Amino acid sequence: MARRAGRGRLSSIEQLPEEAEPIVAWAMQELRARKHTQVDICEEFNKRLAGLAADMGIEIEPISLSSFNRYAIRLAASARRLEETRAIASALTERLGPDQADDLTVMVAETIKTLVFELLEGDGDITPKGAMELARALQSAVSAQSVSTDRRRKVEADFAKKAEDAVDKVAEARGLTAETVEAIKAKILGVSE
Amino acid sequence: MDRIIREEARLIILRALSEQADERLNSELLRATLETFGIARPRAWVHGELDYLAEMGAVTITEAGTVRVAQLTELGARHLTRNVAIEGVKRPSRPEA
Repeated sequence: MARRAGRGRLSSIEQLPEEAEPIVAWAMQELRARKHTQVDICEEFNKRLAGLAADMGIEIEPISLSSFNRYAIRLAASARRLEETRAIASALTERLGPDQADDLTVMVAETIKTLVFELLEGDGDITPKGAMELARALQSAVSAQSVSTDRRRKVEADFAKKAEDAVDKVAEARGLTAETVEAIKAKILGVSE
Repeated sequence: MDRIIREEARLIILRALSEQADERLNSELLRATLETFGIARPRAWVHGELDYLAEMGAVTITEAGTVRVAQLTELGARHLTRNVAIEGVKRPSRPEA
């Protein structure tokens, strides 16, 4: 689903009182579990909302099925991107077991994950902000005195290589043009140099 | 009310970590993960929950500038398999027979 520019109008679910949040979280988990139909979940969701409204002594309008559906789709799209991120990033960083990695290697891996996620989420305008924050953290950790020149070179080369691979993988998944790919690489690698 | 959401969020965080190949994830992606569960909170809030989990021994944290990287510990993994129950973290539901 293409994301509209700006913040967009608040959905009726986003306008529910704060106390309804556990009910929203419950509904999203139910949807994720894929054991009941969305209609059933929405019905139960409104039942719980009505119960809450009665407890609090306020009025809460039931959420319409279409509004519930829009909200669910939006969150599901984001969940899918995270899932894709996991698949792509694990292919790129599979050599790192849970126990054998120092802080720098960890940061390389995390930067790649964030990069992949943000590239998947972007709509052509490429601003991998979070990845850059991590890349900067990596950079400052690398330039700290305690890291030897050799190690520094190795980490930087490793990061550049993985970042390029990540961009290529995402380009493949999203069908980006060669031009866009080059632009992204220039931007990302500009941070590491 | 706040407590329920926090306990829920902590479980979602532990699960998200366990799903990663390296059992690590940074706070920005954890924030995005929570959002997909209808828990939309700023990164600072996520950091607070990570601090709690670290204090309970469920994760270890590596600082990376404005972001933090959390890693699942043995104890955290055992909570997910229902072998232990960490206080303040929602218990995973029982597997269905």
